[in-house]
Amino acid sequence: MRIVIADDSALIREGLVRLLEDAGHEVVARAGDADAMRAAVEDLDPDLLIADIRMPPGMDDDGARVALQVRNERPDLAVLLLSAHVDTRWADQLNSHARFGYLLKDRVLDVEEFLDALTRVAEGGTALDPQVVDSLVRTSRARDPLAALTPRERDVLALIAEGRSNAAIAERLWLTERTVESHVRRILTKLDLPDTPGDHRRVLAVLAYLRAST
Amino acid sequence: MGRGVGVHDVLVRDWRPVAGATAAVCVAAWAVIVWVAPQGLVLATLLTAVVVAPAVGLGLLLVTRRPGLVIGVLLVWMGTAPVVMFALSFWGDTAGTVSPMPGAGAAVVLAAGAWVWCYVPAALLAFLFPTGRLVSRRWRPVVGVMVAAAVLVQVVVALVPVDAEGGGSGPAPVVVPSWLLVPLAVVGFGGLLGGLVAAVGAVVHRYRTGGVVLRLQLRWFALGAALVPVVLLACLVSVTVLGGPSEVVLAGLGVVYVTIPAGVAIGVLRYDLYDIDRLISRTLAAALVTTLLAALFGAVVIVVGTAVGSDSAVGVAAGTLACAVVVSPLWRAAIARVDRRFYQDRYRALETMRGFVGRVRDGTAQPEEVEAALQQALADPALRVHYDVVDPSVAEDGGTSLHDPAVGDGRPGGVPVSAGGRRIATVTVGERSALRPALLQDTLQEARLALEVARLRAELRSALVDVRSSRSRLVRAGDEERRRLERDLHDGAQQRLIALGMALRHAEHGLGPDDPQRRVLDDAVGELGRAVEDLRGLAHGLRPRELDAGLPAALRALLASTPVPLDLHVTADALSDEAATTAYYVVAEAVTNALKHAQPTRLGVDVTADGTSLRVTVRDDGVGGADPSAPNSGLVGLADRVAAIGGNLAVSSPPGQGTTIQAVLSCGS
Repeated sequence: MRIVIADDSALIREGLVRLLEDAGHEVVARAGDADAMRAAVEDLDPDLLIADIRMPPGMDDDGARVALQVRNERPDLAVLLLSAHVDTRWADQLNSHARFGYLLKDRVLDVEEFLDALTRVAEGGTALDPQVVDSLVRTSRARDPLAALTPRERDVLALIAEGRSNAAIAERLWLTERTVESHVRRILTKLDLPDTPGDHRRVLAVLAYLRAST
Repeated sequence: MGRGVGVHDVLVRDWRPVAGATAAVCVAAWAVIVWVAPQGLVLATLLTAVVVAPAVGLGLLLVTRRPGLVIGVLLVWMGTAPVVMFALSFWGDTAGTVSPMPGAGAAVVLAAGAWVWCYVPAALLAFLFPTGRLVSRRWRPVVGVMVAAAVLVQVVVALVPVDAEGGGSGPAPVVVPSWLLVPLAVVGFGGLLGGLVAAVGAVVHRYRTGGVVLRLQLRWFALGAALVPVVLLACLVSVTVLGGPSEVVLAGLGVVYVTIPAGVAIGVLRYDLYDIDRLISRTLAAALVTTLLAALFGAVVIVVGTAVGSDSAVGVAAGTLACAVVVSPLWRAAIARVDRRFYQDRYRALETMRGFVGRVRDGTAQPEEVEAALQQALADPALRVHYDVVDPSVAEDGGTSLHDPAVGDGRPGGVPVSAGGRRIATVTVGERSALRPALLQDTLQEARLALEVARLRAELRSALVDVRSSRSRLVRAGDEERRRLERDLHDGAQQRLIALGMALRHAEHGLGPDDPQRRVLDDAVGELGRAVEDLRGLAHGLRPRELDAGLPAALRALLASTPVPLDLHVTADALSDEAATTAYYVVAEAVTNALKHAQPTRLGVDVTADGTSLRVTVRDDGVGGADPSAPNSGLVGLADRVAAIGGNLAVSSPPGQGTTIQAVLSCGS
């Protein structure tokens, strides 16, 4: 996979480069600010852009904004946003686009998971940080129907929202895939969501529900 | 120039000795009249009443009060001249008698032209009143010519040969041929008359170029001054055409002698010239009181004496008692009456101020309105009050004045007002009040209480503004510092830890799959992950990052895990960061408080913005009875924080009826 990395911290940048190269990916460019990032993507047409949300020149959400602009111009580009803290605003981006992920930076330390999320996003799926999902579940306005879910069903719902497939959920929760499927059906029924095929559309439905008219 | 009398003009020359000497001459001449003339005492008394008392008396008073001002001397001179004129005349009359006075012949010669000197001081007054200075230096030769002409007239008149019916006696000392005498007489009289007309011109010029007050001061004087040349002309006509009946001369002089001192007196009394009005009004009041007391004493002594018998001691005691009882109210009444009659402006001004201070005391007027009250009392719209407000940030005692446009500090031309030995205000005034310093001082004295209260209130307000702004600066600085710390934690320490973890993962990658070091590194990375979590929690405590996503999202995150049902309504967008942060803390603290103390079964949180203000309401249905002023109550800190950004916090917590906490914040950014 050809990857562009954008982060204003050289330590993080170089660490990521090493980890990704260890995993056999090709880092084609590294950028220290939003403008360099845009130039690199436009010149090199990578498969995946990993961007820090807070970056120069504005030191605000420049990284996220520019990454999403660039992505709008080239829909095939997969974008993974990284940030130091939870900011549920960026979860909205999943509404309109696949090939999008949003993780906290420390997820990188769990290399397997990180690379998995990377692959998922690059292949057209989504990856949402568990803490972001947790935030969404906690702050959801539709709290009462969520109360009807069993704890296990909530776990499954959170994993769906993170963008995981049934197989991944089964593996994660030490269940059989059939059990997960029945959980998912029950959840979707309880929440009155359409049981749609395809992981991404399923995620969208769940997120839309969690944010319920946010 | 031409602006009136400078109140604090420098003492250039002390005219008191001159005035004293002139007055002594007057007394001597008076004595000559009484001693020499057959009907001397009557004439001298008449002179005293008409001429000496007004002119000399006023002149002496003026020169005592204002030794540097020549006006007083001129008045004394003016009063003395006719006395000397009559004295010389009577002295000269003895020349033809059996026992002539020594020097009677010389007296005859001098007496012939002595009348000239009755006009000259009047004309000089016209040139110099009221400043004691000429309108400009160009007038100097005019005055010189007039005085020279007067001397010439004196000489010429003395040289005129006296005929038998002329009433005069004794020959002229030197015989001058008439071809020389006539032109000299023409020049002399012409010069004198011209000088007198010029004096009137000087008054008119001063009047036209002067201000309002100067005109008032000059108005009555001008009337008298205008009469001077008219009277002289009338006298000349009467002497040359009618053969000079002395009644005309005397009547004319009498008119001048009444009008000029009266004009000066009116200027002084009515329009505050020379600042001696109070002296005069006090003297008048004292005379009034003394007379009344004497009458009362006498009456009581007689009445009591008649009633009790001839024991005069009882009568005297009763009279003394009666006087002692009435003296104080009588004095006040006399002053008020005299002031009202002779000094209406002062009476009105003081009454206005007293009325205002009374209203301040009653609470129906604000002390800050003292400036308007002073303007009204003194009829001076240009009057301004500049308070001496001590900057509380400078010093505890003494301190320095704020150099603020609204605050006075040694203003040039300002009148300081002091209380308790320190200046409380400086008052700058318009022209009218500047010319009436005594009235101004008395009025300010009446206003002092209001001025002091207004100053203290101004000082308090300025101190409060300072405290408020410094508190709000502190809160802002604190917020800014928290934000900076939070960023430092995220961008600094946390990134370093993550980078370190990645380095360890990289190292791990290089090891063989069964290397025992893998486990060690894996544990270390796990530890790092937890450290990052800790840091994130720490940073969140410093400033909730949810606020970045807006207040509604932040509040939903905050209240997501409350253990009791909670209704949250937030309709607020685009708030200033300050308002959003404060609202967040209000909700957080109020909800925490309710859960901790009130045992509620339901909570309601309402946040509404209406353009200018943000209303944050937290209700619970708990036990109520919260005391917002209890020192360990979180509500105190909350109220402080709300007040620091200019909002206010209200707590309503009747026992058993739940608690409602409402904060109203300004939400402009």
